[in-house]
Amino acid sequence: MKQFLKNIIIYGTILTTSFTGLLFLSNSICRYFFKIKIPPQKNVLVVGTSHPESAINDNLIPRTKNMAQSGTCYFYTYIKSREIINHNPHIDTLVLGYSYGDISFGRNLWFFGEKNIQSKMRNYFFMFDLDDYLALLKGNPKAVIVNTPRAIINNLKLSFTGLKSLGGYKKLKKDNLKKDIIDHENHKDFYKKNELSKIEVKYLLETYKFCEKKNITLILLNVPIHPQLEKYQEVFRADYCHIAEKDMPNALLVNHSNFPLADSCFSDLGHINYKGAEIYTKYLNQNGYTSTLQTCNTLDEE
Amino acid sequence: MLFNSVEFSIFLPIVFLLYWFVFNKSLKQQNIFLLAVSYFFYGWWDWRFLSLIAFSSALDFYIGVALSKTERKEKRKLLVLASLAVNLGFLGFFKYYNFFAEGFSDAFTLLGKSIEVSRLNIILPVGISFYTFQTLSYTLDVYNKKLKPTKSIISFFSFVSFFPQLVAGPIERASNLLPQFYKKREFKYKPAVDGLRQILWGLLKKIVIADNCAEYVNEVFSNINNYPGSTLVLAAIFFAFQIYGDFSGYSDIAIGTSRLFGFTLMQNFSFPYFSRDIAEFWRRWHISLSSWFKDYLYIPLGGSKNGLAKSIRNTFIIFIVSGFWHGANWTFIVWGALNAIYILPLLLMKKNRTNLDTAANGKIIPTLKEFIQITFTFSITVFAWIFFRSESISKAFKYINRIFSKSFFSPPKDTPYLTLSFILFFLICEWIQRTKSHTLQIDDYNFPRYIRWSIYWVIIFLIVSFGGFQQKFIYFDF
Repeated sequence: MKQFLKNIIIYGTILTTSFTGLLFLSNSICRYFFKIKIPPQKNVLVVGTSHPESAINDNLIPRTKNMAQSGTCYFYTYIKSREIINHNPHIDTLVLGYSYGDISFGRNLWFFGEKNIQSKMRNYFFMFDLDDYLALLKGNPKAVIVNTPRAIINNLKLSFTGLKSLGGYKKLKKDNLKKDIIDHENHKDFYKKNELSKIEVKYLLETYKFCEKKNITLILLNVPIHPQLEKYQEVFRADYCHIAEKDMPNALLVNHSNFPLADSCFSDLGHINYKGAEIYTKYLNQNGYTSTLQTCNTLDEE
Repeated sequence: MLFNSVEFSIFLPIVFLLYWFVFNKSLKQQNIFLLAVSYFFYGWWDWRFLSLIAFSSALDFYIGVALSKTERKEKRKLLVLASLAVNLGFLGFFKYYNFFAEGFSDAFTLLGKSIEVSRLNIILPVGISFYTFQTLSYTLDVYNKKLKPTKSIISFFSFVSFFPQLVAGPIERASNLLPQFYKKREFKYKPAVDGLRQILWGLLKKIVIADNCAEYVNEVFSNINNYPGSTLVLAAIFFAFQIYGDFSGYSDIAIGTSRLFGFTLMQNFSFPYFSRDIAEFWRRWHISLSSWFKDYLYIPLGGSKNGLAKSIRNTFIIFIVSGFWHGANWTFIVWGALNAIYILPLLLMKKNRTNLDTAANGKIIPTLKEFIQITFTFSITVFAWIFFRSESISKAFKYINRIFSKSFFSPPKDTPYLTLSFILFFLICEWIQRTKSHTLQIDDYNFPRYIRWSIYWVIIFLIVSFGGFQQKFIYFDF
């Protein structure tokens, strides 16, 4: 028994040491090789969730780089924006796609849900500072510990794949609108007003503070969504507006959620397809992001 | 508590240390401790169903005692029938009530009368099919005088609830496992190390093979119309590896864990996908259930001793019952029947016991004939798995129809090449070790320590780096 336990302890130590060493090594390799530079003519960075990811085709708008990605909560959006902006001083505008539901309580799961940690953490691990890691660890220690070693291989993969692993325009072709309308009708409860997600609000404000510090214009952009979904999300609007008005006075709030698009331009309730993206991006290219700049007060007047 | 969970990785070392250092003074201490941690293990999932195990254990213990006190045939029969009625009654109520109620209602609808049958909104107690069969094996063996009834209630309760194999087998025979609770266990280095190796390989099967396959399988099986026939074939093959990795992985962890505590459980899988015919496959797949049905159903029905017709009848009965054991759905019954049909030609030609050794025995690669036999057996098994995986018969037929459409000739979509490479790696390792009781049994090679430790390191690295999203064990639903 003594021999058995001794071997287990020795092996456990070797295992832990080698994994930790590899983690640091792969992190350094990733930081060294990861191509985080974006073309100098692109001075507008778009971040956020699947809504801006599928709405802004950055091939059609020369000054914009779309780095939004589905399922990204404000925590990862903040880390991604921080890293890209620090390496690309020519970026002067950050467009953060939002929808009113982003700060609802259910979004906590996007931060510490096991599935989200498994799919997201490894891609952002090399950009983490200690505070980021500890924040996530506090949110879900079990999932974070289990998923940390996954970063070893992923860091090496990221060294080759580069920025596209962190987001980019996604051309949507599928047509799930009718099914989605029925699904949402059956899950109306999801849109009941409840308490806010403290963690999402925290990292939204961190992003704002970072932009202020770097002298970057922050545009909060609500991209087009189907009128049906707009109706559901209405319950969260007051809270979002309140935070934007009170805590982010210099951020520009732009609401394009009611941008006129035919049903054939939607992939589902929350996402426009490639046809819609083409129409909408051309509009942004001609008119700029802030052409219909609105404050929460003007929204109320609509 | 899942074997592939963080909770179990904390539970196991604590229990191991307490078992060998604190509760190792006497046999009674060891058994009481095992009983307590087994109930804790089960209660972690749902403590309310502990009463069910306790009741089932108590009933069979006292029926065993009563059987030992009487030689009267009628009374003995009555006692064994009571055990069967109560144990199968629980199983029937929790697992099959809704199935039969709906079938009853459908039958009346067909006759032109519609009747309202209320469905029960109950959850299936995890592992009920496994421990019910385990306790039944005890009562039936005592009834048939193959086993002396135990006098130790603690040993019996520990045998029924022994945590490594409580919820998903192997379904142990009382004659094998129960006597191991009569002797004080001493720690033995070699079996413990081999147990750890088997746990490690089981985790690889579950986390790297099964869980990664599951992601692709779930996506394809729930969106049949979005994929060409070729993808559907690939997903069915992936399911074959998912269910194998999942279930045999669980068995490996269970057997390995038992060895850490000084117990030896029966082998449950013996490299089934290298079988050269379907009869061989069933001698290698879920061995503990197949042999249970053979001993307690097939042989009592007459087995193969009363002519070919009866042998065929009995074969169909055990395969259909075995399908039904898996769940209250026609898909499982069709899966069972399909396997019975597969075995039919072998029975008719009396070739069902041809391949009793291992494929390519003593050789590195199989002959062309063996290769064709293995591929054919695997293909028909995969076809049957489509029914097993589908939610309904109509969905299974829809799946098969789509396979045999023009889209079969278009290239597969969204192929997960990484998972495919893991399957290939896994198959190579299993092929090399196919004569062993488990794949990581490497004692014979006499590798130096640094080689052995490097092998473990690579496996652990694969598990932590490439594991799929944690999925429940498939057999927890059975």
